[in-house]
Parts: sequence; C-alpha cells; structure tokens
Amino acid sequence: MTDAIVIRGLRKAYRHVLAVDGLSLTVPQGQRLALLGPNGAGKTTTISVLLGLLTPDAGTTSLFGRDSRSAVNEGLIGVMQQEIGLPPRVTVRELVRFARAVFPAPLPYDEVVAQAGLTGLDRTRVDRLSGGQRQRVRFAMALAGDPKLLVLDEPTAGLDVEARRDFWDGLTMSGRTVVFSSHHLDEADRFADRIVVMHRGRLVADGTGAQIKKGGDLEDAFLALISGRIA
Amino acid sequence: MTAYIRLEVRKMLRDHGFIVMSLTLPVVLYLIFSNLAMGAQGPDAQAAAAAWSMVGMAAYGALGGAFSNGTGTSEDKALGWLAQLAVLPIPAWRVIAGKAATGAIIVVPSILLVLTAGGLVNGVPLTPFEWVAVTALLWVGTIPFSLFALGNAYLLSPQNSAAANLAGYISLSVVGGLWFPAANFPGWLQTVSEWSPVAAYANLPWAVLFGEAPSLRSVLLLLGWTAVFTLYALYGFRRAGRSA
Repeated sequence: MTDAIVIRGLRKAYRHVLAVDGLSLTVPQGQRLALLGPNGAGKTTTISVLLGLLTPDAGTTSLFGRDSRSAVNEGLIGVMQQEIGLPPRVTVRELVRFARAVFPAPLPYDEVVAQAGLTGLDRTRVDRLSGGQRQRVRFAMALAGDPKLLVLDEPTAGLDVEARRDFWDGLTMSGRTVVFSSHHLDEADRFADRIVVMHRGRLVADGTGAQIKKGGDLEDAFLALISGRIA
Repeated sequence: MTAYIRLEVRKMLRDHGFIVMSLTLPVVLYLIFSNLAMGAQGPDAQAAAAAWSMVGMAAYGALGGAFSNGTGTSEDKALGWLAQLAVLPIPAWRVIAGKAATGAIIVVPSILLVLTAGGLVNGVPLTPFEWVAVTALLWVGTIPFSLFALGNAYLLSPQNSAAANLAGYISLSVVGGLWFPAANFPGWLQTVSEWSPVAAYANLPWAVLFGEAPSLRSVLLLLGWTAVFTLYALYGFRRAGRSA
C-alpha cells in the first residue's frame, strides 16, 4: 500500500530562522502519528510544506504518492489549521454544506455534524460560537470530505478536558490516517500509535509512547529530549 | 464553484456595512437629489436631472458593492478564511473567479433599486431597450472596479485596504461626476475627470439616456482602466500568495 506521507530531506528557512532542518519521515496508511515539540520546533512549517502551502528550500514531500497540491485538490486530505479559518456571517450548517460540496465523496451531513459534536448548533452563526465550538466547526470542515488523511494542527487547543476526550474518541473510531501536532503529551500518549518529537527543525525521537518514555514519564522524556540531555 | 459563490454572496448580503452603503444610501440619496432637482429650472430640466442622477446613483451603489466585496476579501485574509480555502479541494484561480462572480452578483440589487425608483417614483421615460441597455452597461462596467478593490485587498493589510477602498470609492465617484456633473467642476478637475475610470464607466449608460450610443472614447478608456486594474489585481494576488 502506498504510504500516506513521505517526506525526504525537507529544509525550510525563513529570513533569519532555519525552521526545518533536513527532516525525513514516512507515515504508512492507517497510522495515527503525533507530532510533538516546543513552540518553534518546526511542526507548523512541516505541515504547511506538506500541504503545498509553502515551498521548501530543499527536499520533497508526497501524499499518497502524489504531489501535495494534487492530493489536496483530489480531496484526499482533511485539514484543521491552527486557530484560523472561519468566515464571518455564515451558519455552521452553511459552512459544513459548503465543505461537503467541494469534496468529491463527502460524508453524510448528519454524520459530520454528529461526529464533530455540533448537533443542535448547526443553525447558529459561526461568529457567535464559543472558542471550543469554533474548534469543532474547524474539525467538521476537515472531516466533511471523508478524507483518507486528516492533518490536524493543535486540534484540541481551547477544548476542555471532556471535549478533548470526546474529540479523540470520535476520531479513534474512524480508522483514518491521522497526523496531529499537540502540546498535550497525555493525549499524544493515549491516542497516537507513534510519536515523533521535533526540536529546532530536526527529528529528535521517533517511536511509540512506551519507547519514548522508556518506563518513565513522557513529560520528563520530552523535556530531556528538547534540552539535549539523554533521558 | 457555485457552492463557493453561494456562500460568499450570503456573507455579503448579511454585511450591514454593505446594506447601508451600497443598497440603502444610493436609493435614498437619489430620491433626495432628484426631488431637489439640483437647481434645474422647468419640468424638462427636472426630468433630465432625474434621469441623469438615476444613472449616477445607480453607478454609485454598484461601485459600493464592488468595493465592499474587496474589503470583505481583506477581512477573509485576516480571519484566515483564504488560508482555509487553500487546503480545500478548490484551485486558487477558482477562488478568485468565485470572488469576482460574487462582486458581479451583489452589484445587481443596488442597480435595480435605483433604476426602479427612477422608473416608478420619478417616471424616467426610457424605452424597454434603453432600460435593458442602461442596466447592462451599469452592470458590466463594474468589473474593473471589482478588480481594483480585490487588488487592494490582496496587497494591503485589512485596515489599510478598508481605508483604501473607501477612499477610492468616494473619490473616484466624485471625480467621475456621479454626485455632481463634471461640467460644473473647475477646469483642472474637469480634465482629471475626463480621464478618470468612473467617468468612462458612467458615460456609457448616460449616453443611452440621451438616445446615443456610448462613445468610442469612453469604451476605450474603460477598457484601458480594466487592463490596468487587472494587472494590479494579478500582481496583488501573486504578492499575497508569496507572503501567505
């Protein structure tokens, strides 16, 4: 089976910062991968290049054996970007219907709304929702096209504990390939099959939660990795 | 793409700024101006003024829609809606085309409202062919201004583009003679007006009112401005794409 994601030798620098420094990563289909790292580690840059939103300085990326733009334009990818992306003056229902209309084989409307936890809210205008509810709308838009791969940049930012649990429970059942970045180590540990830790644009750890923890605490292991000490 | 256009048109029609500036204000101003008759003496002059300002205010309302659409686009950019569209299966050119189509749709009610007021309230006497020609020219002529406003939206920050669009809207409308006939301007301003894009635009339907075909000069001038504004919008879009 074609790998969902192949990244080879990715480099991307901004004016004064080397954001991603020679990253290679292969994600097989069906895997749930957590991308961890402190702020500025290069997670969002990696995701942006992967989606074809940024041009890399060096290296290649592919999604399901295609170039990124083709994969996005064929509707294979559902994306939740960080804290952005909702237009004003439209209702949840109008937005979800729009998202469904642009994908070739969308999920049924009721399923999208139910899975995103938006039942009963779909006639409300998006600009009148709470932060957590808006986050669910972003998720609904990512889910609407029934994509083979979900790319979620800090999907649970702004959600309370219960909403975070609901979010991951809904996602676990779907059986899709999922790549997500997060600052919540516990949810990475619980939900992901594989954890990749980035620091200063490089990959510093890659394995299951158990392999990275080495019997200890994930937070200790994470802090040791990003401070350059060996756990 | 129809789903995208439908969504964008809904967004605009719920924008209170758009409703006031481009739907309500022009028709209200028209009814005031035409009934003050702008100093016209005698029924013939009053009827001519009612017809003249009908086209002026319809053009003014239509331009309001075109510029509001541009300002709305800069708002989309600030809120990350354009970034969200970039990760949906819609190619970038369709987003621009959809936005331009939205502009072309939302100018229609502004035009029809003022023309209806002209026909029903002030009894502007045009033949059916003339009504169609005036409406069509008012509509088609908004294309360059939509492009100009979109160029501002892509190139400038949201606050600056809102300011640039409002300033461009008002000043181009006044210089183009939509508010007061350019014939009353001081000499230097008349010269500016003769070359301005809004004058070229409004001269097309104004010619129809007086039973003439639009002058070749106005058509060529508007096409020239269309070329300039198209290049400007493309430049803005490419710049925005690089920095986004």
